Amino acid sequence: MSKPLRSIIGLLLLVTTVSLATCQSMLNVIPGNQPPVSLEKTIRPL
Amino acid sequence: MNQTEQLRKPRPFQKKHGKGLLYTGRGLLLYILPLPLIPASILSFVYGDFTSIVTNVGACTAFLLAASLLRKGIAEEKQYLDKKIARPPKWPLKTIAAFIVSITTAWVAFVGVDHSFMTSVAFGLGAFAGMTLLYGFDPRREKMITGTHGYTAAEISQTIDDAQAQIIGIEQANKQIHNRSFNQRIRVICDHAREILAMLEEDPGDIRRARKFLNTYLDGALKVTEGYAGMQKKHQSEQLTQKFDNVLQTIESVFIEQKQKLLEDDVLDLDVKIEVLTAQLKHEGVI
Repeated sequence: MSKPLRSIIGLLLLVTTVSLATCQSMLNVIPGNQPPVSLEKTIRPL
Repeated sequence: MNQTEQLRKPRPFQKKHGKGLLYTGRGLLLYILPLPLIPASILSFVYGDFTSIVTNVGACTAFLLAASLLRKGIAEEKQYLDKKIARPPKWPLKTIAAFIVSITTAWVAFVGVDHSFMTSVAFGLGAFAGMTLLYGFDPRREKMITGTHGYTAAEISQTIDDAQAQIIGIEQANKQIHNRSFNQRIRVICDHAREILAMLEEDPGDIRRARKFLNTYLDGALKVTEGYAGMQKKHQSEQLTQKFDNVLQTIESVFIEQKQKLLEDDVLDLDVKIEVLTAQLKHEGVI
């Protein structure tokens, strides 16, 4: 594998994994973006 | 210009930007990628979610630590690549940074995002693969030019590092000397010394006599420069200035001769000269 190709794949992998994890973590902190607790409690499997 | 004149005029020393990575952006990406964790940390405090606070603040710190280690690792790798003879970096900083990024990414995915364990592991592995593909691993082998000099790369590298430290010491002492003629002469001596070190890196076969030379003259030059810098603060005397001038002349001429001998590969003659000039320096009270 040539070095530029390796670097591009590495860059894509790193940016995708780290930014996805960090951005999702940020969104998860905002209460509106989490599944409402009340809904979780009310909708129970029959 | 003939060869002797060329030897008398050293190339002025140009500082390499090996240390510090001031002029390259390699590794800065790791400072940018965890930026969403800063608002995440603030929001965690706002909503009072302890698990989120620990996860986001901890992950942000870990990413910044990894970024710092990665930049240091890249700087050390650059220094290693610039040198012809070099030891590998003491710590595999780039690899340590890759592990930190990998574990932190998996941790954020598992605790911060509530992904399943296996998905989080996949995130971690992806980040590790990304780090190693993009930045590579640390150099682990000694760089050596093959020869029959009988010294290891570590010994040669140590000799050169010590000599460079002595040159820096001479330059520091030179700053305290308030005499333009001496300043200029010391600068020239330092440039000669650096050229000799560059020649040694090219051909470590000369390291045996070069060590002898560096121990005697570079050390002598350092002692005499520091000594004069200290003495001139207390009292200026014509005799002291004259003595220092003589010693600098001797050192400069020996440095030029050393370069000549290194080029000619004349071992025996230089050994004799070193003995004679050591005696002269002792007579002048330098060593």
